[in-house]
Amino acid sequence: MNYILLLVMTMLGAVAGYCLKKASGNDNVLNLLKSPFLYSGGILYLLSAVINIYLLKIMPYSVVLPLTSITYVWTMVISYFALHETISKRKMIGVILILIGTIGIVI
Amino acid sequence: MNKIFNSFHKNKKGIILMMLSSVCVCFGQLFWKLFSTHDISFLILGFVLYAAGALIMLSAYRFGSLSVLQPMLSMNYVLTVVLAILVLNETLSVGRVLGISAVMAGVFLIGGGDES
Repeated sequence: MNYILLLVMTMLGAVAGYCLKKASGNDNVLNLLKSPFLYSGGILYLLSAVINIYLLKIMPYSVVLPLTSITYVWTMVISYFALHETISKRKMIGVILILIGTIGIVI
Repeated sequence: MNKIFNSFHKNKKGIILMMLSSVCVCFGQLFWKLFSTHDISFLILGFVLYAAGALIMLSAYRFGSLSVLQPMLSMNYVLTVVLAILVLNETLSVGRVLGISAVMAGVFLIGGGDES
């Protein structure tokens, strides 16, 4: 159950990052403040933070923080599907290392 | 070797900011962890530090190239282990340390830019 929460938390974080990146495309502050991406990004980050705080309550600190690296995996997935960015071989190896490391941390 | 020194010098400001950001983020999470056994000021401090860390990281990107700065995110994991052992007295199994090392390497590889 906790690990499902962790997956949700990292997904929220990655999507939040994507929203904020889209919001940061605005050059002037007025447009930024009017951007729905700013607020959705902010809310998603807050939700992610709440789950983060809860998980830190029940899991060791040295487990939670490294597992947040899964966020980078989601970010890569998002950038592949939403932004059509290519995934280099090096990044694939990176993802595999993160996943292997995650298993090592969790076991 | 010279190339490494040059790269370091060019990105020096960004690197220092990234290190600062790493400290803020890790301590922010640390305070959140401690919040479960302390009062709400720890929660607030955690938020402040975490936000500061994020903002510092964003500004760091203006002072260095992405391919140099982003892999530095893996420093978070080194600091995490140090803080966990020193401050929280957590015991880390060999598996967990190896796992964290693998994650560190993975983040390092993902973080680099796509400049070829």
